[in-house]
Amino acid sequence: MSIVKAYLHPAGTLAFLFLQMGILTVCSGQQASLVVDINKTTTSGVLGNSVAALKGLLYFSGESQSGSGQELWRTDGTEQGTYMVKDIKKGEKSSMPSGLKATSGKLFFLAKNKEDKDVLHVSDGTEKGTRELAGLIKPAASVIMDDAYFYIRTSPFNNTELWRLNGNEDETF
Amino acid sequence: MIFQSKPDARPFPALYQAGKLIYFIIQPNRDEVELWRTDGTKEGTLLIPSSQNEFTGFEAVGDLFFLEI
Repeated sequence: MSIVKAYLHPAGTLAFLFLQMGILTVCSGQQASLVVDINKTTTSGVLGNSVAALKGLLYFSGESQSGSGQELWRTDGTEQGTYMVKDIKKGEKSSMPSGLKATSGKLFFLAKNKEDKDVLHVSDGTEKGTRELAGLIKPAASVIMDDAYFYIRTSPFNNTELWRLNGNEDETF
Repeated sequence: MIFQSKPDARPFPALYQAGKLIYFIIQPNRDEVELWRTDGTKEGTLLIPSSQNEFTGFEAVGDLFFLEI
């Protein structure tokens, strides 16, 4: 079963469309419904509208009441299967993941590093496999094509550059 | 890296994917705008001459741009 679409409600709830036996179904019946409220102390534990599906799981930027700040989360559509992937910026400070895009094997997103700069990150969906791509500053724009992540940026020498990162080949990073 | 402009060219903050091609716009100087396309390779990254391309025009609005075929 794969998650093919996610809905974010203003109240911070997540709902999903599942592809099951070739038929699109909304979880828990005909209407979108709450999977889990990850932060009961605020009006919204799911922040932003950036979500991406990778290998049947949905990744998003979330903040629970645990004090980890806004970090990368994943869900399989169940309460038990919804948890933080990695506390990228340790402690209460948030890495604020955004711009999530997925190839068939990797998740690419922006997140703040130790210096509080937006830097491109990559993840295979695990804590160990989630890391900063050193030196890759915030792209001006990005898109997925042919299972690769393309992004445009301005170089330190003020050139406009278009780069390609292959989705399953770490050595190309 | 599959494309690099001359210095001081400004990128529009958008990449537009259409099938197996990605289109992007850069502004090489204050008075010009260039439309480029790539198939993901250096060899396949080409400037689309404004007088020869199949597009009747394009419009940049904020972080989006629209191609009119």
